[in-house]
Amino acid sequence: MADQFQTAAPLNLNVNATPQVAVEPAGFWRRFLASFIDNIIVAVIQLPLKIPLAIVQTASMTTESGGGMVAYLASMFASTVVYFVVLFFYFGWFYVNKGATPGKMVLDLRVLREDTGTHLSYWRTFGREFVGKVVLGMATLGVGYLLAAFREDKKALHDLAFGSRVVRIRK
Amino acid sequence: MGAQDMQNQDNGEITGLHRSQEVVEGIRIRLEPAPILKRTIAAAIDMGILGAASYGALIPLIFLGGMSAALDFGMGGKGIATIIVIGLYVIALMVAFHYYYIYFEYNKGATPGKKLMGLKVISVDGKRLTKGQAIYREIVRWYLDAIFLIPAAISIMVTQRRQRVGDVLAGTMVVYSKSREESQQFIYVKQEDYRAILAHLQMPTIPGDVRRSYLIAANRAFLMNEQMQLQSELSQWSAYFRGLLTGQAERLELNDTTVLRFMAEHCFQLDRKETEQKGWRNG
Repeated sequence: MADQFQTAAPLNLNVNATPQVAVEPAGFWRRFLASFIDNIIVAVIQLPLKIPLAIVQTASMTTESGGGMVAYLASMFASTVVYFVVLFFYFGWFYVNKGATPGKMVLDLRVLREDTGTHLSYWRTFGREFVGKVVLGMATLGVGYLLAAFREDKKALHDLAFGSRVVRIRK
Repeated sequence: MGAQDMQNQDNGEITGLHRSQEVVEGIRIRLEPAPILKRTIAAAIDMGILGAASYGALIPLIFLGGMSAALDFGMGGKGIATIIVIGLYVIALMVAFHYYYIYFEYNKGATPGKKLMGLKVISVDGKRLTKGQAIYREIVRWYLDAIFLIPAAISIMVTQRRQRVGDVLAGTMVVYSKSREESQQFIYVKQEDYRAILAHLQMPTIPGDVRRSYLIAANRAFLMNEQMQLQSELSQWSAYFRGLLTGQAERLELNDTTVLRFMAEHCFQLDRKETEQKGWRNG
């Protein structure tokens, strides 16, 4: 056992033997840009699911019978459901497994739990993205998002409400 | 070179795979052709970035377009200014898109989307891309592979190195490495530092509840930069881990911060892998 250690190459750490990764709260514009990229990716993912629904909608609008109205409302409803399902699994899967969505990863951002510093769970993601962003963010007319720009710890309302934190990693 | 590779493929040999190697710290690693799903996700991410950039570029376009439309239709022009502005926008986008792929694949070996998925573009002989190869596969990407998707799909399924038409023509391939994909998941120490230390240690098992309570302390100390307030707690933790490692930390001359950061990363990685296996996370 001891021999195995002696034959191993000497430990050669990069920076004065103290490895470092600098972590700081992520700024507003960086996060804005990240969510911009994410929204476009989500839109692209939805396309194959949305195109048939859009065809149904267009067809139903040209029908004058009562069935046309039902088909129209049903396809509108289905399209909303598709949007939320895609959103739930997109954010959920990436936050749980990678700690960030692709847009955030490109910009070196991570969404971590406030208390443990580990990745979010699906339900916390659901709370943050739907209750926190959609309900709270809209109810406060966007001031919930803007908090990130003015608070020192860069937390938006959806971070405060669901115990999450967005950090930028500098390696 | 290209012709001979093609011949090898025709013979049904997988010599190309064996020659596609990468030398990391003196160890030869055989490279795995990139899984199609990973390449697709990488492409979607790149399109997201480029799409966001095109949207951003719409702001000057609307401004300039408005001015040129006013010039054309309000002041008796013939629509030429508007056509020029829109033409310039399209040309600017094309240049930007080509530049994005050529710059990242030639200089960094991977576009941001590919990097996130742990992919890298290499020459089939295992070397990095030449500028010519990067340009060649980029031109074929847009004017053949992306427009006529079917030849690209067939080519990826048929070739042993999972090459699209542009890859075959330019003599390149896309390879995947799990460790490259995971390297972005390290937040307390860099992956290479973590591995260097880990290779020199006989790691003890750390009980789950200890792991969780240490992650809370490490989160405050290193992710929220509160080392100063936590000094006494951290020195207790470092004494605890030095005890667990039974003298190995002293033999490697690791200082307290290194021990604490390394153990934090270790706990974080264990936690992450546990979630990966369960596919679910509590809390």
